[in-house]
Amino acid sequence: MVGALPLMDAAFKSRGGTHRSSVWRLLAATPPLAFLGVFFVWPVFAILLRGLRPNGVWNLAAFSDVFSDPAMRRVLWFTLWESIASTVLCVIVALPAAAMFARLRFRGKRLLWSALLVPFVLPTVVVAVSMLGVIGGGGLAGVNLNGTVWAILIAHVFFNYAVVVRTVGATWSTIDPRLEESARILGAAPWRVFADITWPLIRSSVAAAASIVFLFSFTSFGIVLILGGLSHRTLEVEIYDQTAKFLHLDIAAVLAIVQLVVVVVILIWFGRSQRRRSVLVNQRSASETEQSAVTSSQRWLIRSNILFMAVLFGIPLGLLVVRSFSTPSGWGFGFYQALTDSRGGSTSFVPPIDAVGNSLLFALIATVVALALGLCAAWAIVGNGSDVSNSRFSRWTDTALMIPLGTSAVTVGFGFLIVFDEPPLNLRSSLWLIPIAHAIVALPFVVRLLVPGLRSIDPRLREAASILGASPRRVWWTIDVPIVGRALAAAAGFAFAVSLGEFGATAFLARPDRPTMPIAIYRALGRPGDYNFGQAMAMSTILMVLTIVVMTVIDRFRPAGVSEF
Amino acid sequence: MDSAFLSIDHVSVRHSNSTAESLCDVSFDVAAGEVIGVLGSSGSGKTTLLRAISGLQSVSTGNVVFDGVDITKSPTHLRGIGLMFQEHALFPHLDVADNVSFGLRMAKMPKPDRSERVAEVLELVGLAGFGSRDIASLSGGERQRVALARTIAPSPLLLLLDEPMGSLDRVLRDRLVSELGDLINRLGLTVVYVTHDRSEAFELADRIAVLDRGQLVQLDTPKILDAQPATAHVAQLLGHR
Repeated sequence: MVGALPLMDAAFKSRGGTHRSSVWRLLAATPPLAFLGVFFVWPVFAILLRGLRPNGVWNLAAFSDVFSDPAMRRVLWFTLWESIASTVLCVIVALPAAAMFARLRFRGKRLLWSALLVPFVLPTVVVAVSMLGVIGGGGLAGVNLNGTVWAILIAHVFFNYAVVVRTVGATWSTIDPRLEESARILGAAPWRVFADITWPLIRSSVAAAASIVFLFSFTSFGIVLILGGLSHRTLEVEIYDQTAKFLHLDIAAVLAIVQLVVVVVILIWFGRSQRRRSVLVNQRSASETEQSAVTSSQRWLIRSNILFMAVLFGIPLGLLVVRSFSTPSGWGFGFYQALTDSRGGSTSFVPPIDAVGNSLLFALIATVVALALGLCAAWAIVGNGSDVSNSRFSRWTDTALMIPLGTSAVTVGFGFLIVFDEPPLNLRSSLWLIPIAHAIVALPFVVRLLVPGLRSIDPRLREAASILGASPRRVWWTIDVPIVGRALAAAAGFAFAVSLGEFGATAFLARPDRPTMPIAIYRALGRPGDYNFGQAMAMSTILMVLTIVVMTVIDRFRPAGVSEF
Repeated sequence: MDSAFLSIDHVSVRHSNSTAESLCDVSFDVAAGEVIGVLGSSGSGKTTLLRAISGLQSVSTGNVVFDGVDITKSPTHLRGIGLMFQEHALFPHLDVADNVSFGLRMAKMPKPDRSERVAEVLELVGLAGFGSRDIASLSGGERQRVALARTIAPSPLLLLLDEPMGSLDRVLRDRLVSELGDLINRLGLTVVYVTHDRSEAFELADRIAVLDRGQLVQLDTPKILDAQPATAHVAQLLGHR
């Protein structure tokens, strides 16, 4: 394992030897950066060329065509305001829960904190199908919101609720309650305490969370494709349609460029808010800041938050499972049995159940690739923690690896489509293309989980082991590996879950005879009739259960405490 | 002095980045079974001295001679010196028993002997039966005892203690200092004990070394030190007006 070497190298010396260590770090950074270059930068570059230089001549005509088309302007406008509305709505409903997790102690808190991650990693297609069950025609809510913007907004809140609660909650819980208490003693009313003390301290974490929610909503694909109907279309959906339905690759490229510009701007803003965030003074550990609910308003806060979560998550997902067993001929496994039937629809000629095997195989490959690259990257970023001269290098590597997080999966899929269908790399029909795309999407998550894992190793632990007679190699085996091992397991689970649910890139790349589970679900939705909708629900249930199983396994390895991810 | 057990011979430590504390031409000898207290304000080089003796910090010039062998260049893990860290640095992924037996495992002690020794040492620090406890579940005082147990378990010939009472409250501190004194006497340990607390140094040490900005300004028995402080700074450290 090449990635292991810099770490061992770091363990060999206390200080000094900076030169040797930076060579190792450069070597470790090479595989992930090269991978990113070939499978991310190159495709994105190809999109840029396609849009700015159609037919080999620099030409902005395609841009003016797009911007002067009222239909396109509607798409742009809708994408923008839908993302802003989703973000604002999500922050408003999630802040009370962040306060609850940060300040109050209650039974089942840890469990609920980890369970919150489940909706976040659920495949978009599953969430869309479960939403259809509640707010679609004939759904439980009694109103048909399908095709309205409300369906989209609710689904976006469903996904991003955990992002805001966990990001803001983690920061909030480190704020010393005595700051708020002294403000109270100095005569500030509760709302003033919040406005003058709490809010300024959590503001940057809210900004960070909000920018993530905005990005996810701005690049939302599966949700809008399924719930948006014909009238509500985002850039992502338009890029997909222009490519897959109308074969207008130039228009798609222009739209992808517009999207990239917005994403980069948001990412820069996000980076800024992250840097400001790290200056929180006087941090307390979460266990010091929480207290049991004593007043009735505190108890009311807990009850209303939990009720809200039960409605937001419990009803759609519960109904999904129930309805997948409710066939026209009564309760049973009818829809599940139908998944093994290859005659189910005219477009697919393989039984939908094959998609389970495809998805698991792709997820396995994507996980291995993302982990190997993520380990190298994390080691390159962290180094041995003691030398300052390399911090610019590590920040640069860090940022480079985060870019795919903001870039839409549709851009990745579209880029793959126009780059890898011709020499030198003709991978169009290769089975590798999908897992590679998934690895690109999963890599930022993996790095995000591994870097804190490596950073959390107090250098004094290595020193203590060394004092007690452990050779550098044994220090690595007895200290580094077991501690990072947990983060590694968590990263593996995350990468696996991301790959299982990936829809945007796969929609471009999946071959008709090798669908993944989200693709199979989308195909079933595209065919009319209760029978096909039932199959979609059955497949969604299987995918949901698989994802939850993976997340549960991860959680056993998660280090204790209130961490963001 | 040929009979010195540990000999610090003109040791200097320079850091590449100048902000960190360093040592400037420090020399002194420690006899076997002696307890040396190292007193100094923060930034005086106390911790650097321990890191230099244990090999965590490489020295720029000078030699460290331990039990007749020049160990200046030998790697930390082969020196056989015990060091107890200021913040204890207990391994969070191991339980109490595994923390304590870590050094024994490195010394390749067979497993049955290991568990016997762990039980013995835990008994010694007053934590009998704590073996399977999680590190996170321990109180400050208990962590301090586990750290001590882990340090003395491999029976190091020389024990370095870096502000071992650092984060504890006064009452607990007083009790643990006297317990530690008993333990050192009973086991006949050779100890270099770093502290900024005058009373700790006076209670435990046979001789006290005072460091000021990396230099050794005085090394004497507590009685002489108290009666004839070498400089105004030493007097101030001892609480004289």
